[in-house]
Amino acid sequence: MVAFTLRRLLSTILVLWAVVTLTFFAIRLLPGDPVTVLISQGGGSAEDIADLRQKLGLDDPLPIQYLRFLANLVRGDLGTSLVGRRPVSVAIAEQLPHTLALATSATLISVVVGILLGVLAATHEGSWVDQLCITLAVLGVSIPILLSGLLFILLFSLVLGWLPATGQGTWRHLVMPSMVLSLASTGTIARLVRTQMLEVLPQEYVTVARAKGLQERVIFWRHALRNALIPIVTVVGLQFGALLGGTVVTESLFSRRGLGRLVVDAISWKDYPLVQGVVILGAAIYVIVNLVVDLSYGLLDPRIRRR
Amino acid sequence: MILERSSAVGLVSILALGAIAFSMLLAPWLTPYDPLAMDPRSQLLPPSRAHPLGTDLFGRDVLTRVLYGGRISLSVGFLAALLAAVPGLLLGLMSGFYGGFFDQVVMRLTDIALAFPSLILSLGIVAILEPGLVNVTIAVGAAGIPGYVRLVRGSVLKVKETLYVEAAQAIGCSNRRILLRHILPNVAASVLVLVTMDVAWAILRATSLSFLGLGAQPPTPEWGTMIDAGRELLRVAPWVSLAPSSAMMLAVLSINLLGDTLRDALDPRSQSH
Repeated sequence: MVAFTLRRLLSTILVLWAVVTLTFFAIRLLPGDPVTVLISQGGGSAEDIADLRQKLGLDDPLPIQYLRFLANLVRGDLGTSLVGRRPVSVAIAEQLPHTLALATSATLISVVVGILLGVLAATHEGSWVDQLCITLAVLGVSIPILLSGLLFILLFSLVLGWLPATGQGTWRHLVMPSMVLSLASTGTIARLVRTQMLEVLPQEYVTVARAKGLQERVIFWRHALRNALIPIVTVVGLQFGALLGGTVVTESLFSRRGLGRLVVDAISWKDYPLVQGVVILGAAIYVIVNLVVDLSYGLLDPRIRRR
Repeated sequence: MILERSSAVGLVSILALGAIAFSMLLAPWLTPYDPLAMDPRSQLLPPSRAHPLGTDLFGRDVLTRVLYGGRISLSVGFLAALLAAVPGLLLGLMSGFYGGFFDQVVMRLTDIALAFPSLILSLGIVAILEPGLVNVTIAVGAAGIPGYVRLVRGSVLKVKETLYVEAAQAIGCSNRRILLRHILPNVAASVLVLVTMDVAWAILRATSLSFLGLGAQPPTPEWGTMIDAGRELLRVAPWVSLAPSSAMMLAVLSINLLGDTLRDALDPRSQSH
C-alpha cells in the first residue's frame, strides 16, 4: 500500500508538471502578443508596449520565462493579471470559495440522492419503484443545465417565489444552482449504484447474512453497498471534473460570482495569465481529487490494503 | 439486425432525429419569417397561430430562429465529432498497432489531456484561438480526441492478438492491409457508437460556449446565444429562452437514444443500463 501510494503520488506530480508545461507553452507559442493587444485596445504608444513587455519579463528567451514561471508557481505565484494588474493568485483566491461551495454541495447532493435512488431501485427490481427511479435517473442525465436551470428558476423563483433566482450570499442562493448542477451526476451515480447492487445482491455472503436473520436494511446498507462502493467512488471522482466544468455554465446562468465568470471574462479580455492560472488550477483540483479517490480504495477494501 | 433490441426506443429516436434534421434543412420553406429581420411592432408576443413559439425582444419569430439555430448547432455537433474522431481513430490505430516509442508518446499526451476537465480544456483552447463559432467547433472537437485514442487503442490491442490477424501476418499481408482490412472493421462498431454519442455531447458543449459568449455572436440565430438573450426575459417572455433550450434537449436526447440503441445492437457485451 505504501509503495502504491508513493507511486501514485509521484505520477500525480509528473502529470501536474506536464499540465503546467503544456499550458505555458500552448499559450505562448501561438501568434498574437497579449501586451500589444492590450495596449492597442487602451490606445497606448509603442513605448508603453516596450515598457510593459519588459516589466512582465516577456522580452526574455522562452526557456528563461518558463523556468521563472515554474519557480514562481512553486511559491504560489501565478503571475500578474494583465487587465487588473494584480496577482492572479489573489483574483483566483477571491472567487475560488464561491465555486468550491457550488461544486462540493452539488457533489454531496449527487452522492446522497444518487445512492438513495440506486439502492431503492435495486431493492425493488422490476417494480414500479424501480421504473420510477430509472426514469428519474435517465431524465437527470439527459436534461442540459441550460434547460433545467431555466425551468428551476421559472418554477421555484418566479412561480412559487421560494428561492432567489440570482446572486449569492445565503444558503438559499446555493440551493437551486447546486441542484441543477448535480442532476447529471445524480443520474449517473444512481444508474451505477443500481447495476452494482444488482451484481452484489445475488452473491453468497448476502444469502448468508439473510440466513443469519439480519434485517434487510442492514444487509443492503452495510453488506451489499459496501462491496459495491469502489466503482461508485471512482465515478464520483470522474464526475467531479464534469461538475467543475459545469460550474462555469451554472454560475453564468444564475449570475453567480466564481471562477467560471472569472475565466470567461479573462478570455474575452485576452488576459492570458489569468486564463492560464484558472486552467492550471482546474486541472490541478481534478487531478488531486482523483488521487484522493485512488488512495481511498485501500480504506474501502482491506484486500487492497494488504497488497 | 440493428433494431432488434429495444427497437421501439431506437425507432422513435430515429424518427425524432429525422424530423429534427428535416425541419432544419427545410427551414426556409417551413417558415415565412426571416431569422434576422426585426419587427418593432411584434416585440415579445406570446405564442399564437402566427408565431407558434412567440417572438423575441426584437420581434423576430422564435420558431424560425430555433430552426435556423438548429442548422448551426447540428452542423457544429457533427463537425466537432468528426474533428475528434478522425485524428483520434488514426492515432489510436497506429498507437495500438505499432506500439513502442510512438505509443508511449501518444499515451502520455492523452494522459495529460485527460487531466483537464473537458470543458476547461475547451475553454483553454478557445482562449488561445480567440472566441468565435469556428474556433468553438475546433476546441470542442480537439477536447474529444483523447477519448477516441484510448478507445481505439484498447480495441486494437485486443484484436491484434486474435488468430486471424496472426494468420494474415503469416501469409505475408502488409501492415497497411492488416490495419485497414482486418483491424479497422473490428474497431468500427465501437467508434461509430462513440461518434453518435459525441455529436450530442458536442452540441451541448458548443451551445454552452456560445451561451457563455465565446462562440456564435448575436444576432446569429444559435441556441446558446438565444438562451443567453432570453435569460433576462424569463419572467415576461419565458418562451424566448425555453424554446431553444427544449430544442437542444430534444436533439441531444434523440441522438443519445440512437447511440444507446446502436450500442446494444452492435456490441452485445456492453449493454446500457
